[in-house]
Amino acid sequence: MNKISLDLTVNGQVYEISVSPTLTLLDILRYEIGLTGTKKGCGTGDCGACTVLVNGRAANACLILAPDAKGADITTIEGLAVEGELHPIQQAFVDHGAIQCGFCSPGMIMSAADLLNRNPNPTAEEAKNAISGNLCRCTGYIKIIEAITAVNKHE
Amino acid sequence: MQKIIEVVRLKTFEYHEPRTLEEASTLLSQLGQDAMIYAGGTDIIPKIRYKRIFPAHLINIKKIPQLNEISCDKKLTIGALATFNDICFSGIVKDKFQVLAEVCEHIASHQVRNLATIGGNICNAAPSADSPPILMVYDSKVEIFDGRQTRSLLLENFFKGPGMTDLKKGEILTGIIIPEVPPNTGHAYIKHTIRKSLDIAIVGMAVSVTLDEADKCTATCIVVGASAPVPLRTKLAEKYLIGTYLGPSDVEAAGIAAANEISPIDDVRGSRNYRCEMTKINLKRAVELASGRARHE
Amino acid sequence: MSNLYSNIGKRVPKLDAPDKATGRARYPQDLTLPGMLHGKILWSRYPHAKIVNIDTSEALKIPGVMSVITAKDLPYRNSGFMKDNPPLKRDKVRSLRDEVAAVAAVTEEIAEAALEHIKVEYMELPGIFDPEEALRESAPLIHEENKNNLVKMKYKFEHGDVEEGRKHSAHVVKGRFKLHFVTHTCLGTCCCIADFDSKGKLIMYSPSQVPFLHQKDMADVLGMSGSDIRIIQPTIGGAFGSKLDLYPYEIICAHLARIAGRPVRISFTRMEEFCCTPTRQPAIIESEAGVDADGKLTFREAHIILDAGAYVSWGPTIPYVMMNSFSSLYRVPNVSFDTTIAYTNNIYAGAFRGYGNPQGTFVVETQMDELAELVNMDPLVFRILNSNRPGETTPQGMKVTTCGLEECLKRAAKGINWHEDRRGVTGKIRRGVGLASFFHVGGGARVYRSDGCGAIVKIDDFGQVTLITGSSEIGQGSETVLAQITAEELGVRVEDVKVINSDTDIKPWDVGVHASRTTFIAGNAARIAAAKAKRKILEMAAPEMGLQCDELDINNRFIYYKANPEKRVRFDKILRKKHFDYNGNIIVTEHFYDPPTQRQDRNFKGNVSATYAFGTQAAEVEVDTETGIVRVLKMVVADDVGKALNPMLLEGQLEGGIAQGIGYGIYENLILDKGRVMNPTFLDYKIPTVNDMPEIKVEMVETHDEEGPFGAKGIAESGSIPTAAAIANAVYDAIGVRIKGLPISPEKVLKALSKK
Repeated sequence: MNKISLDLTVNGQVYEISVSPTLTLLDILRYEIGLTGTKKGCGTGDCGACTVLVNGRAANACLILAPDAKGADITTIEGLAVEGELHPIQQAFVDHGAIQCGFCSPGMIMSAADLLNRNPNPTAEEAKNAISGNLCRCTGYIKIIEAITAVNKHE
Repeated sequence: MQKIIEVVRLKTFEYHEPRTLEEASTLLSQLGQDAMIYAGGTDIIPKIRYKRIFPAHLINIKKIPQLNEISCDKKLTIGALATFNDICFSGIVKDKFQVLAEVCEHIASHQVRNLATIGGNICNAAPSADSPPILMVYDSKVEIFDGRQTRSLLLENFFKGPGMTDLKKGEILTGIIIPEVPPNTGHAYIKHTIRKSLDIAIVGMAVSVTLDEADKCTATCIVVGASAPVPLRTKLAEKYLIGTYLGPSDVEAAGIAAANEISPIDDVRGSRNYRCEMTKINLKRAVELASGRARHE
Repeated sequence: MSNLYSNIGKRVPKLDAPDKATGRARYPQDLTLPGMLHGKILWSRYPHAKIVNIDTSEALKIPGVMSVITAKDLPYRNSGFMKDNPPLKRDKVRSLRDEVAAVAAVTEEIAEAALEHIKVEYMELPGIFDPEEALRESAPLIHEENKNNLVKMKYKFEHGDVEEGRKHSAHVVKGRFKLHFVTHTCLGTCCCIADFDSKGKLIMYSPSQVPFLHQKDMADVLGMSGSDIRIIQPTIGGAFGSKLDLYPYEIICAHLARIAGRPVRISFTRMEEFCCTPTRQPAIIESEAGVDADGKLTFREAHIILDAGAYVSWGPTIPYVMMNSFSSLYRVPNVSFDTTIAYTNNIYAGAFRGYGNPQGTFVVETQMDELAELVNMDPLVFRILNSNRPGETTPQGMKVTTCGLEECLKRAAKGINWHEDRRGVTGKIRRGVGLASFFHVGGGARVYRSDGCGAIVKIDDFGQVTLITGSSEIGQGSETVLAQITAEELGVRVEDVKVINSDTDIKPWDVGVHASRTTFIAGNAARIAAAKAKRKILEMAAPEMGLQCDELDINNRFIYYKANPEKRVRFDKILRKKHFDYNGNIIVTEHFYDPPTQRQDRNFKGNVSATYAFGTQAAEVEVDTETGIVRVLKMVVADDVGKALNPMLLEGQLEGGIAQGIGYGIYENLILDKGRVMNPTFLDYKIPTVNDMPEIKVEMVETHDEEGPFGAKGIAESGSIPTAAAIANAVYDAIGVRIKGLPISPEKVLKALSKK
């Protein structure tokens, strides 16, 4: 099997790896780099559990072939918290009860991060559209929307 | 009989990364049937996982420059590699081709729209795809490059069956051209789904309507998705509308004609009968929306 | 009242939420052990066939394949409720999810490739996919050792005299209802790791929600002792009942690990999760009910036909709970309930949140609306008239102690603007409202000899409290609520409490997470163990402070003199002193709480739960009469929760339950064609997305249950129970047609409208 070498930046760290081009970015993150925070819920882009930021934009890591990750700047769930301090979105998810089993949470939070980068004070409608590609089976989404819309609202 | 197997990791294939369209076209010609163009990947990767396709070669065309550009001088040109989010966030598209922008904004999910390309959506030729019907009622043409020259073709004539297109050996779809919208013309697309998001159309109904000063319909284009082997332009139905004032009986007659013209299947998403009924209902609703927009309401 | 407490009634965030929000939480899929192999299962090619021969020789030749096993390599032991399910199938396959062979290899891809090289010769047999057809004499036999396809399980309940009730009825309704297949779709697919230590003891990393039952079942099927099996529960990516049984894949994983001599992980793909895991129990329910001229219920008679699928997992036991909807949701003097359960070649059904109650409640609450209309009463008034009250004993012998159903009905109705007239709207889009209530166990359920849970409270010399509980965290928030209970009882802060709950070698026994029992049962165990610890601390402190034990209390980490709270000492200081003193002592206490309940007798009578939960949901829907599409605009849920220990997590349970209930009611349908799942993807199996969720209003009715921990009842399943019924009643209100099968799909709505 022909391997390809590529370098990519994940959470600010440059990795040089040599992989089969048939791997996806999700495989690279979970198995090559060992960042298991990004989840595999379906492998076909239907659930959003593997959502990461690729060059600042939300994308399904399971739909990106390894060669397309070449030179990319990736942010995963592990890259949000700084020096052990939860990112405000993570804190909002914790505080608002937006997490139950937690399997959808990393993808959900990355979708929220993408939205809040574009739009720091989204309405509930905008928050819904941003996570409409992220399935959650536990929460009924209500508290997730509460969390996302509360991130930048300071009383 | 299909076994319950979904591949864990993708099967081996040769990966190619041409830098020019010429190079891509040559590769495609040389490698023949076993090669596939890879762009957004949002259709190909699931198909490989579900063992529906077994490409021996993937030709990634994303390294070819300028294929994702969107430009407008009266006519709109969209590069084949433009993603749905490129299109729906584009000021020009939002401004002058508003319904196209809206349709693109509701395809799949935000994450997928950052990856999926319009060219890929067209070339996959899924009968249920959302972008072809609306592009067709905008009178779109596709540009196709064969390694030496570019030909253009009405999108309406591009589809040949589920997953089948007019693309010949070595040809690559490079862009979509949408002519300037004639005055007093309105468009509409209704994606008939059970869920409000992350769903596939049971029926996709695209309509354009052009009215004269007296609100008489002078031209129309009606395309039904997910209800025939290809996104189907229902010319019979259009005949019932042209020259009318789009009264309830005209629209109902057009709906019946459209329902007769389509050939939907029974599947897990909906029955043949339901698709026929929804074609009538959505045609009526789409005509109403489009004519309202034509009247600038 | 809530001011009394410093930890109870507070919106305490889940203790595991920071790990889950940062990607640190480790699910089974995230764990890798040194030398770990990857297992894959070869599923049957046919829904019903004889296995003539299996040739694994080619698969074994593939480099990287460490072992390939078939039934021949396994002891002759079955799993499942009726012990009818061989982990690997021996002579025949009975469904498309039957396990035929399994491979362990160094990578998942190699294991998967090896499957394609296992040659299985089948002789296809005619299949049977309908439970009623399965019982015809000519039907092909699914389990040869039986005379026919009838599952030898019967749930027959009689109370009063149904014929007499019928005679006194002014109106009678009768209907046949069809409940469909749905599936859990946990976001984390099935995944476990099996590992044997050098003494031959098995360590299973398992997402089980009943680890001690799992340990026992695993021991039986492997021919080992339960004490040789250690279950470690990593973070669980959703359960909802799906992890209530021991499944063949887990047994296969253990065998592969044993034979290969290395740890083995089996992880399902999403498609396997859809096709090869149990469903909610489908049902055909024929039900009749009557009412007298005053609007009092006279009788109910129900006959239930269940499709078990090819094997008996928990699915066919759901009548045990479904019966309650008929006998006890509303007061009814005469009840007859009976079941017929059949094997088919469909995939088998298991446990799913609500456990038969959503199915039963859909029928009972539809018929409540029909009866109200016949007797010309407002459905709300009719329900209040027939609702349970404190002190009632239901026909099944269930003793209603606290009961807030009447208030729940009123508050749900108020929340949805029940009396607003929506009939004025006459366009293509119609609106309607509907009510449905539920009755469910709220204080455990004695389905086994013990309904107990053990708790150990250990306090170290820094004042760190460790609660070691038998119960399990499956995302529902139990460890947080248990920490609150422990902290409250001890007089410390919730952040002082660490909860250990994921290792059977450490934690004391518990039945498991089912029957909405954890807050109540594990909560009482923790509370009492903590009370014992507190007593010990006060006994240590009393001589130090020169006071009597009873004169002291603990609050906010201080032991204080009740008569003069100024006189106080930090409790960790006392602990440290007593620990290191000559003849030192430490604080470790335990309690095993087994509720004061009975197992039901052969006639299905007995007070199985220490208290019962009640509640009502009100739905407002919009129906497009041209397309048949139903949208839920608003849901109000009013639950008798006893006492809301953590309102935020409680809301989360109810909102999430409603989302599943909405899915059950209008979106989800696992379509089977000749035993094959036709829509095994998230695109075609439609769980609600965020845009499909209505506004949800949660009302908590607090009845302060005497037996419950700080007055609480169990409510975890309740969110899912009455949702579909409330939606169906709202659809009737909107368009005047009764849909008696789920889901309420656009095509069913249009069909019903055309017949109107």
